[in-house]
Amino acid sequence: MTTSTTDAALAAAFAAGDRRAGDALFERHAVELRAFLGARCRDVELTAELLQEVAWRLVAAARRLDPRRNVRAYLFRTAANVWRDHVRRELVRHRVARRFPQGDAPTAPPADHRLLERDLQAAVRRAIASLPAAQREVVELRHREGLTFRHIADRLGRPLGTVLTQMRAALARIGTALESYR
Amino acid sequence: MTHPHDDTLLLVAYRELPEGEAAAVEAHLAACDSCHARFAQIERARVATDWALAPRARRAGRWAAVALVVAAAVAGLLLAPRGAWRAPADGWSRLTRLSPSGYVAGGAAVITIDSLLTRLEQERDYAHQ
Repeated sequence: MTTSTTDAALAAAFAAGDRRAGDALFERHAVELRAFLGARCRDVELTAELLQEVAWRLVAAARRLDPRRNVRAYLFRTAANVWRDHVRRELVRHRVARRFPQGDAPTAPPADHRLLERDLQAAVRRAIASLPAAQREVVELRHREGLTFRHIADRLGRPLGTVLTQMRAALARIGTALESYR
Repeated sequence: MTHPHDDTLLLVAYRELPEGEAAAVEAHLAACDSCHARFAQIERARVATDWALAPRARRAGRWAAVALVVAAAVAGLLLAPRGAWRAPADGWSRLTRLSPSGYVAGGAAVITIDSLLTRLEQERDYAHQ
């Protein structure tokens, strides 16, 4: 039995209510998922927390799991989403910490968090709007259209290396705009 | 492993590197401070950009949902009996006087919207498979 068919069988059993199948499914990919998250946060405890979140989301999605799909890819996509959400929270948390330097940041009202989130989004959008057209084009195609860099290169008729360089330059400028949020 | 090029880090961040290569780079990132610092910068900006720019599919889905709600409301109004539009004498609002067929049409539309949003969410989850 191949890995994918085993994944599919486990996913089908899990979707049908077999929690042991869910445990087994998660266990099969836990080492790789840990490496994936560990490379990004480099913190053993945080990695464990994020991995737990991936497991929780898998449980929450059990009934919606489609065994015909690539379950492994689904798990990694979930891990990427968990990581993305963590980074997003961190960006806002740092901003809150700057605004409430006395150490009462964690108790800042949710309304302030939402305000800061919108503030952060607006700052990023301004940074994107101020990018040179060639860079902004690449950013839009990657983030709005979801094209891969290879497809972007084909669509724009630019070498892949050029597209990657333009994307890196764009992210560097956006990163500079985020400096006040660190 | 030698220190990966910035383009490679970018491809790892966007999960566009083949599995085996990505795993090797990730193992390196877990051990190399300087490469991880470069990677963290890319990641922070990538996530912020992802957050600030909603994909068009999601936006289109939301507009489709709004259109369905409007369609359901219009269906409810068209299917309501004319008498329902007389001034409410008994204190009930006009909405409570919509016909059952209008109510059913609205309910079906809400179910359609719910399934549409669920499908969009699933498509988003599976987008990179």
